Amino acid sequence: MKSAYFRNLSLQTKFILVTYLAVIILMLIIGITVTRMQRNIMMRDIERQGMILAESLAIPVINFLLYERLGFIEEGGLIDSYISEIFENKDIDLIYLTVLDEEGRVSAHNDFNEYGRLYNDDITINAIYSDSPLLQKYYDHAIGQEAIDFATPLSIGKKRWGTLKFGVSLEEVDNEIQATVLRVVIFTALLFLGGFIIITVLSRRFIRPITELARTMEVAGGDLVDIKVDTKDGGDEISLLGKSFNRMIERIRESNLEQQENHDKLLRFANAVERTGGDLLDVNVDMEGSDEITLLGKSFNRMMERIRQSNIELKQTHEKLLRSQKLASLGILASGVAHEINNPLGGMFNCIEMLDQMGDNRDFRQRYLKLLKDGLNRIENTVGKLLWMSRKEEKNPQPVSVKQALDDMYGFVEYRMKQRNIDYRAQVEASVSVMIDPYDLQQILINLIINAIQSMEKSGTLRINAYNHNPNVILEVSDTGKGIDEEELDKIFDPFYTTKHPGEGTGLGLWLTYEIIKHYDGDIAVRSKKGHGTTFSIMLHSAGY
Amino acid sequence: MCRKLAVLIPLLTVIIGLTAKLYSQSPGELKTKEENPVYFGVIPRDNPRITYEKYQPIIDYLSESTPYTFELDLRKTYLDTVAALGSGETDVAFLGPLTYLHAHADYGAVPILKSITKKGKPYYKSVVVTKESNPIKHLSELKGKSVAFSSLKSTSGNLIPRYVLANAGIHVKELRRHSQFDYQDSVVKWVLKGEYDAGTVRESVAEKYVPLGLKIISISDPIPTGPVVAGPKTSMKIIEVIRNTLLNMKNTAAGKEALKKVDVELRDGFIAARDSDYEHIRRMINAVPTGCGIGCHPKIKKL
Repeated sequence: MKSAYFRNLSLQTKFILVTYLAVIILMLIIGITVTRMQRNIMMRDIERQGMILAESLAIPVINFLLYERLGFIEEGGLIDSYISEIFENKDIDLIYLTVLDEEGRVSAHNDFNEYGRLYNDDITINAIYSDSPLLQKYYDHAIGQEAIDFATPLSIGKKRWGTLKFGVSLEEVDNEIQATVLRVVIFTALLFLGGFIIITVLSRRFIRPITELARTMEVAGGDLVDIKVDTKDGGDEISLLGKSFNRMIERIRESNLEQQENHDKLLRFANAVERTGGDLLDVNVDMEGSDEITLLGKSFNRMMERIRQSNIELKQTHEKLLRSQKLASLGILASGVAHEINNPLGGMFNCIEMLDQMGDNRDFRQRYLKLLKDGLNRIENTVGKLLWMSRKEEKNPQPVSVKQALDDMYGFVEYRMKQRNIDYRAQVEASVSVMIDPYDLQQILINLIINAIQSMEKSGTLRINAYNHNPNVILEVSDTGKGIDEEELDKIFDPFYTTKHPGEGTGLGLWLTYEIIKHYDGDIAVRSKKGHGTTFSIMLHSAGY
Repeated sequence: MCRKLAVLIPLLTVIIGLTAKLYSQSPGELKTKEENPVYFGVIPRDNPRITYEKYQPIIDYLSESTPYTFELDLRKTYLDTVAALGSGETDVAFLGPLTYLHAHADYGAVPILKSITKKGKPYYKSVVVTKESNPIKHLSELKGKSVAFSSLKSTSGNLIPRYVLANAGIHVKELRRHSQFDYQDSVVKWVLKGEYDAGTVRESVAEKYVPLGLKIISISDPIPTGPVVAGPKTSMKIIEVIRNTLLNMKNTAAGKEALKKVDVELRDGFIAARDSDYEHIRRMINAVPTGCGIGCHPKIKKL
């Protein structure tokens, strides 16, 4: 939480905070070190002073004691005066100054009331048993202060007259330490104050360019790429950073322009590709340059050109296939055609024979000439139908009666059905008509009927039903032939698929049928049972709608 | 001062005589020495502090090396020291030749040992000193000048110098001014301060101050070092203990260590002493013309 708060602070604030923290830590370390050093120095100084005083005082005190013992001076007087004078010295903060005898009894003291008292505290006991000067730190309850007790034996060799002992208050040390702490605090405060100005100015000088740079970069995060950082003159890191940033922005701008161009090219390309989704194969992407997208565009153009070529070739092939199938159908119908022509021809030969014999009879002649004329008409009609079937014309959708189309067809397949004892049952109402090019309907019917006849080798029934199922017309062609294997059913509309013997079929009949029906947005379905027969259901748009 | 002493000495002689009588009756019963400290006197040639510093090491050594406890007993004057020895207040004492002769004459004190100086000799010398800046070079030039003597009872600082001056043809009356000082250090200091033209002290004291600007203009003949003297009431047992311990002092580590700290005239230990060692001094005292002429140095008879 806190770190997140810190992270969100501005660089300048962070800089100031960190600097202040560093100053605080530094001052804390300096303060503690200085205070400790000062305390140590003062303590050493006091200890040294105390020891010097102790040893210095011991000499005259021993002398005084000796003179007293020898009777040179009045006992008690001189040492007491001496002690009092020393005690009045303000250079050292004495708490007490005393001369103890060998048992620890006061023989001289700055406070006369203490005379004769026997000291048996630990510090005194330590002092009177020490052969050398002794320094003991203790807490003086009387003054409520830390203090040091100095003691030195009053002795020469092993002769000892007593102990000189005095206490020095550490109040001055504490006061000095407190003063030092105060000075450090004041100095820190001043440093803060001065530092605040310096740091603020410096941070502005050093941080502002960075902040500006950051802000500019932030703006650059948007689309405002035409921005520029004011780097001024200078060779410091921030100026260099600014210059680098400007160069980077320049490169981004150039890159953006390039990208825009590429984008435009891609857009044109995509549009061109999109257009190919229709039949607009004459699209051509207009691009110049040598970059990858241009190269891609050119490749696309070449590919499109090839596709166009292929399409043309495919179309031609398709047309050839269609034509082949039609011709194949004609071939299949040829026997029927021949029968259609042969029947009237036979009659006509009879007529010619009869005319040759009895052509003089006018009534007779006229009757037979009419018969001849009928025969010729019939042949002409047959040949005309045949030519009509094989012609190649543009599609011309129009309402076509299904019954009429079936009737026109029937002549071509009648002979074949009879050959195979096929029972033909057409049930088509005259009103059923579809919107289609008549030749295409003819082609559909021929293909389905020929397939049906071929599936019934010896006998069978061919049923043709057509009825309105608004807005469509349903046309069903059923046979009772050998049927189609279930696994073969989904292949029957593939081109060149055939179950017939070689030479019997092209494998294009049902494919062509399917193509024609799809062209008119119709549909074709098949259901079949092996050995029982097959039914094709065709749905075409009704002409009535 | 001298008059007071002249009165005091016979009085002391009476007192000491009485105590000596007591001692002669039952010497071993007067003091239970093993319980009480054995008091060791020292003539006050130096101020008390210096005396302690120079003699306490021997006292400490004796206390540590014998079953007895020894303690220094300082007195104000040479005569007090002799009197204390005579009265039995002190048991033994370091005396100068002159004070020994007094103690011997007055109380029957006996010399046990005498010291060997730092120079390894059982004698020392008396010198006459002036300030280095003083133009005086010979004793003869001291006529009409001021001279500081040591205590009247000092051998090296008073008796011998007077003898030396007399030999140089100068009687103290011919001096412009002369005084006696208790401590020999004081004599030197007055000379150094320019208060006196010359001073008389023992050689070791003078040598100490030569670096500070003192000049020696005359050196005496050897004087036997002062003896360790047993008082008339001191038991032989203690005397023997002291004699044996001090004779052997320079042969023990602790003794050697202690001797390093003592007066230079005791620095090399002790040898046995006899009264005859001081016969020469005794004669000097008795030579009236060389005395002070005011009865300070009474004639001393050999006991």
